[in-house]
Amino acid sequence: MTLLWFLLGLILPTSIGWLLVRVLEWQTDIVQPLERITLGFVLGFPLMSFVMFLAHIFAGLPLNLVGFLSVQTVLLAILGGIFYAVSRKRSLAVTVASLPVSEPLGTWTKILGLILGVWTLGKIISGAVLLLLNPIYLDDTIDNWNLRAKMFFVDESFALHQEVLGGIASYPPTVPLIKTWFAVLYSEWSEGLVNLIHVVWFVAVLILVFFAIRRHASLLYALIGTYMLANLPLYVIQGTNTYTDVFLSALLLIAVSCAFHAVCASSVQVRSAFLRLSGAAIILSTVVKNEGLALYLPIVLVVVAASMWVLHRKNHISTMQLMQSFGIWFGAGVVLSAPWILYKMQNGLVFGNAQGISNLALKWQPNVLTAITVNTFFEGNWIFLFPLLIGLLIWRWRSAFRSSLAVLTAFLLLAIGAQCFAFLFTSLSTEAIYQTGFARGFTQLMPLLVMLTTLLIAESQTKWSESSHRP
Amino acid sequence: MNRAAVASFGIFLSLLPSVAFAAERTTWDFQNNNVPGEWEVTGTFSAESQPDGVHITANDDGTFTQMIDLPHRIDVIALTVSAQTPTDMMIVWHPNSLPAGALGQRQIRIPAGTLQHVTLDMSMIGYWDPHTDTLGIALPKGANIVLQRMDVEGYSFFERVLEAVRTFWTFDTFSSYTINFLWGPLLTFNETGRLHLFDNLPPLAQSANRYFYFILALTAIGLLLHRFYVGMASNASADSFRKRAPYAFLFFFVFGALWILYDLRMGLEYFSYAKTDIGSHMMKREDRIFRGFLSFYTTAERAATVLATEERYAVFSPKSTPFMSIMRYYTYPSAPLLDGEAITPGMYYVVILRPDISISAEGRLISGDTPISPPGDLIEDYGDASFLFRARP
Repeated sequence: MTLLWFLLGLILPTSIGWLLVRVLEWQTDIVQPLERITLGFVLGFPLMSFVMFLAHIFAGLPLNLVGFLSVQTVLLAILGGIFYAVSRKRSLAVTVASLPVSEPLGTWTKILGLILGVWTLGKIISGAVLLLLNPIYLDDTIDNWNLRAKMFFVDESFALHQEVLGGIASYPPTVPLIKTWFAVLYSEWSEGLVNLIHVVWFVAVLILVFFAIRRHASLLYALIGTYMLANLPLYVIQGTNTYTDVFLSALLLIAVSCAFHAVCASSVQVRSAFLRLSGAAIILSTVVKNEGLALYLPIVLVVVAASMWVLHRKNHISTMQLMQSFGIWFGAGVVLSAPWILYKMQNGLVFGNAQGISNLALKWQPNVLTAITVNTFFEGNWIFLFPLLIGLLIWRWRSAFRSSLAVLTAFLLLAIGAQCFAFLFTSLSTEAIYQTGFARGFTQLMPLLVMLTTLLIAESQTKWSESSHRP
Repeated sequence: MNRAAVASFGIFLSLLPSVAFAAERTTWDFQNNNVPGEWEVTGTFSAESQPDGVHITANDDGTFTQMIDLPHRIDVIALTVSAQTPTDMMIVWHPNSLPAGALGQRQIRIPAGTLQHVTLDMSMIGYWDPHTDTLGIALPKGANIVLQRMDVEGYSFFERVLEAVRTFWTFDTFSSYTINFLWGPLLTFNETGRLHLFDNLPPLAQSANRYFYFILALTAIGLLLHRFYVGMASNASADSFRKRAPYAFLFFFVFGALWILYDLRMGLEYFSYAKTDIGSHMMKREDRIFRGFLSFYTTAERAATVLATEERYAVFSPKSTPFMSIMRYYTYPSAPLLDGEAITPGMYYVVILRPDISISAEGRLISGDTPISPPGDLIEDYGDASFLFRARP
């Protein structure tokens, strides 16, 4: 029964997201049907819940069934209307959603793929069972994600409860509101029901990473990348527990991989459509976790701006197109992020996670480097992903830094560099030394790290194949 | 592997001396007024040999050591000892790499009272020397102990390899840190280390990753050497070799095989979490245990049905646990009292896993001998030192 209500709860927000993707694609088809539904699911929920938050704050709409349905109906109507208007002109559209041709898989590859697929599915099903039937037990869930969701559900209103929640009140309300939506629909607080969405986010990011890789490499490498991500031990743990970093990782994957697709795109329409999707994802990430606003938004902006500037200098895009791309980004950013930023400022909420980033004094922190090394290379968190990636970055440095893959490389190096800087030079160091926060940052970047790794392997094998077949 | 190879390996194993698979042990038994070996005392100790062992009283910090020359290495030390008061004693030894007189040390805490049997894996301790020439104990000033027996055990090479393989497949349980990091496959080289793998945090063990990296590095170096010295020897053979055995492909093949092995290890650990939860919590109606939270959730769910109708209530739970936060979550908008808030008449108290709290003869909650509530009544007993209590209005 819980499962039925859960599936029912997915329909409207995913439809909103699907329409949003359709509108952002405008007159082109840039993604595959399954990919579009998945994108719709990932983007639709934060959009719906954040608009719900705004409607509550500014229009007093209650956080009950009427309130949620009103917001979703309005969003469906607006996006549906735009989509209808656009689709009438779709006969002019250039269809570009096809994926590169791939050689069929060999028999042994299929057998191994099947075994690893069943293995991965087993983990996902186990994770879903644990989420459905276990009580909540993780600190951030008890003190933030689920507690605030229950508060919204019981009170039917948004209150900061700073006297109880302290610094946690500064966390964006989006994820708790998503959980509130399921409870509101069910008319009852059900632990399993509100927690099940975490494993769906995990599955969604696997689908998205598959298509992100497949767009540039053969089926084999898309499957390898998906298998790697789906079985990284700490990513599985995060994906099948009630934390939000995997959800944020999905948004970052969309934001950066779409910027990468945009750079690789051969037509202006396709490039613009990918940029719009990228912009939507990074802007929505700012209302999901504080890192989205404080850390990732500036880095994505820098990387996309640099990429566009390079394309402009190579005469791949005109000045007008450059301005248009950023105009859309900036406009959407202001519309969505500004209310949340203003709300934070008005209520004295910090811009870091529970402690303000402006209060952090810079000083070298001993023992952090050792802790980071152990966590990254000598524990069971990421298998051998980092040695492999570092080796590939050295071996394939030209591809990693001087081809369009540089979009991924630059973003990842800047993001990891910023995180390491914060741990090495500020009081956030305790989170690295006690290992409470460091790997969380890697979790958020993991789909992109796997994507870059897999594409570099694919590229190295393609180059090898070419050279080995030289006469 | 073909049958001949398997048979050869079997014959090879059977021909190995049996000692290769047996731990060797040396015992110093101090019972029955016996003092085996020649022990040297530094500091002002009084040591008296008695039927139950040697009684040592330390008037000052000092050591009780002996020179040893054993026919086997030492990996594990076991002590049978008792202390009158909780005592932080140390195992001390002389690492052969250090000058005479310099001692390595490992602290152990002996609780007061009954005889303790302490077994220690020494192989992962810094400066430990398995062939040390001096071994003993050190005691702080004021210590008063009875040392009954000391055993040292050395593992053969094959036993150490076997224990390392067993440890590799020894899984952690889902703990509060698991959401932030996983220890991954670890290696210890004796049974004691394996059985007590997760008793110390961080575990006293090696990360298996270093051996994986070693294999990968060896593969890469081997392939590179082949590429430059064999593959390039002649153009014809180089070309044919490249076609038969592409270097990058071979490397990725080895890498992929190790990755899948590692995934198998970590995946089975993940499934073991699920198996534990299903067996101890999900499938049980009574006596449910959830990870390190023990029976807390049974108490919380039952108490919440009563407490949710109250405006405020009090929680007594062990320190450094999230029990109060979880109760707040379960009963919202009803909330537990915060530190310093006043208790009101008729208020409910939920006591969670606190064996030190009981109800006195006059009906008050007492922690030890200290009253912590006005008189009231037991409403419901949940077992495991957990119950619901209500102060009289």
